[in-house]
Amino acid sequence: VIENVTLLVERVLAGEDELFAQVIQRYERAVWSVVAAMLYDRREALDVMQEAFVSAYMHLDQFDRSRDFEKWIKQIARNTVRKRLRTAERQQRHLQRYREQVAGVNREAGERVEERDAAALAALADCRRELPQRWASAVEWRYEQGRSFDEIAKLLETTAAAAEKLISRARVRLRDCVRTKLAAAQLE
Amino acid sequence: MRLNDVQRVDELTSELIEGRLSHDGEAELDALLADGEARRQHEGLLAVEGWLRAQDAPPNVRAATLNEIRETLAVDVERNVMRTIAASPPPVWRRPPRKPSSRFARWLGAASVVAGLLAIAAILSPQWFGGFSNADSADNSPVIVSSSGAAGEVIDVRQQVAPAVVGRVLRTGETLRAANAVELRYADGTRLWLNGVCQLEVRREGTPGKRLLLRHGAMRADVTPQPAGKPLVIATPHAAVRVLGTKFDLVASAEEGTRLDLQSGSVSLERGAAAPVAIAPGNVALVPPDASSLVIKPRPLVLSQPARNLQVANLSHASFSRDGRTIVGAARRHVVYWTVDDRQELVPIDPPAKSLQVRQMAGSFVAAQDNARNVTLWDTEQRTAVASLPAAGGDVIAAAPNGAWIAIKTAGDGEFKTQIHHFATGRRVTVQAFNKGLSATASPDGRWLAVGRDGLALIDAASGEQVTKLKRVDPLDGKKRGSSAVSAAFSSDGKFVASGSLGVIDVWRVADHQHLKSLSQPGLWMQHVAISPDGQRVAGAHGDRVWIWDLSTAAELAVIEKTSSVSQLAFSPDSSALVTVVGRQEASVWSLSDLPVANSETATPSER
Repeated sequence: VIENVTLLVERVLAGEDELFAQVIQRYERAVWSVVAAMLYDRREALDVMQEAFVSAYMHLDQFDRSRDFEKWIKQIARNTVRKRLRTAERQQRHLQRYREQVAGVNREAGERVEERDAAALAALADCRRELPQRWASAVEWRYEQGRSFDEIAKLLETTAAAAEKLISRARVRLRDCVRTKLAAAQLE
Repeated sequence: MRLNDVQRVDELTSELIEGRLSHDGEAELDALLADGEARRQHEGLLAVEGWLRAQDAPPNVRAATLNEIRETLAVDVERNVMRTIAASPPPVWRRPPRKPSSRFARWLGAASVVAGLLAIAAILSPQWFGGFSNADSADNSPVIVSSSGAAGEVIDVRQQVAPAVVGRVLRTGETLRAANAVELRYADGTRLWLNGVCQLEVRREGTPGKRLLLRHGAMRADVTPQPAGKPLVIATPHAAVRVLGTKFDLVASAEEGTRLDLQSGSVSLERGAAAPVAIAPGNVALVPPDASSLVIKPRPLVLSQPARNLQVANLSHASFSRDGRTIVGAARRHVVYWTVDDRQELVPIDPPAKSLQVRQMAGSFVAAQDNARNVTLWDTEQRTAVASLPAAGGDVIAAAPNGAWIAIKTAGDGEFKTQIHHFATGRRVTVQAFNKGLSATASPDGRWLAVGRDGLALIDAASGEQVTKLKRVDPLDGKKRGSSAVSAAFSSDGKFVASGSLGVIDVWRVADHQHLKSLSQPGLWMQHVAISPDGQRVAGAHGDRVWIWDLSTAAELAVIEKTSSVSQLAFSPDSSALVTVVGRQEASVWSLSDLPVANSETATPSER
């Protein structure tokens, strides 16, 4: 395993294509965090993740080696998602709206977004701990285990509609909690 | 912002996140988001959703449950990317191979040259080397290059099923079951677009060249000129199309057989033991399910220029006035009138409310609702409100064209309920037969409410009871089947009712519930449907296209091609024009007076 990513890129550019697999393994998580936040469908997020890596490979010679590779590949992922959103517009108008708005949140590239996200993510983690146990479990099953509402309903011994409603309420509670924490942090 | 509005924004945003926000819900949310605080609430929820999703790890780096381990094995990003890279043309930066420096390498280079010469000899002289097959070469393996939503799944030669992902190469023997629009590309630039629900197999048998079997569904092909003696052959269960380079649409369905619509170039069509027939561009070839005949006829007329283009912001509905002289539209809080000389008049719906939205347009009536779900029934002819219903408790999903009642969908405790409110008596009846419908429409006389779900339920509007469920007879097994109807419409005389579902529009006679016709567009959801007042034509829309059929012969008369999604259709009272609402800002009027008159005696071309 080559630790230095610049060296890894150099060697891929020199013809060792198979080393690009190491690039994927290393940045898969970072790219996923961008595409999963911007896209509604899990499988589509996987498709876009793949597209982003293929695009990164095709444009590898344009990578400025003085820059952070993770930021570069995340920017490619954002652009790939935006391209996908444009092409999907006609088919899924309703989802499109959601995606565009989330994409808007992620639109500005680079450090500013990541700093803001870092603060919000920390607040979100705190807020999740403050949720009632039943709600916290439902959120975990939905977002960390990718379970369907039907599965969550079985685990909660309720209906799928009730499970969906519960998660919807949890989301509202989390939003209000994150907002309060971020406002408090600003005052401090 | 009122407390109710806050809760409503959260409720609608949740529906948006879960992908079940209705058209009306979207309009309502739009209206609510005019308030800055509401927008902040809304964006905050979306941000939380995004952050929660980003917490999730891709299946490759997380395998929490057995199912997910399976998913990880099936969807391997790394493997797919590396395979795509290997199958793609080299990027511009790829350097040429280094020159051999060692003696061994020089020997290896010489050996490669000899091997290359032998390979060329093998191609030129197949008999020396036991035949040459290029069936498995990368040239004959299409790659999935894009999809709208999840592409579907691929079944490999061992019958293992894996998700179809972008970058996936389809090898010989593999089958793609497409769930959405998917684009495939060959290395020579040949492009195929699968139009929704389709099944396509990559085949090996036959002469050299690309081989595909379209089991069912619709596809468009733009085929790069193929090498001599190596045509692209696309078979269907009923026929085979042999192509050397051209553009065409191909549809295969169990009900309709095979349909080839040739735009340019020339292809030959093979059918069983019959001699191949050359099809000329501008023609449509039809082979029935039993492959017993071949009918060639000119392509349906393509309409791309409307007779009139009428624009106004936030347009949601449009139809013709009773005398056909005025186009009447609904745009949020206004009713719009366009006269024959395209003069536009905007009349506000009263009583005024900032959040007012038109939910339904039926006959000369529009039903509008504000945030508190207060309903106003407005007569576009009298230009005044004629009835109202305070706090309806749900969204209006249908309105009787005679203004007698509205149907309301209410939600509570996770359950949906549909109720019919009669204005004259103030009586409200609950519809017994269903709690979730995909579409709803009212008959012109207000007697029936038709609800699409598993078939089309005809509900007596007076009692709320289901009288029958309209289904069609499946030609394959003779059983009655109902499909998920996403659109429905009555004819203006109430004699016929049509429903649009996946790949088909079904038409029934209301009086005896007799199924009359199935009009097909395989693989495409018929999102909007309309029957002409003279009962002769049916229009159906999917995305940016509208098809017009002759009802008596089921022949396709014309296709309207637009650049934005069509969201509503309505015929003129004399059936000579059609109005479409496009992109929430435009009503296009299409003249149908030049459409061909379908003849049941379709000309059968000679196959001699």
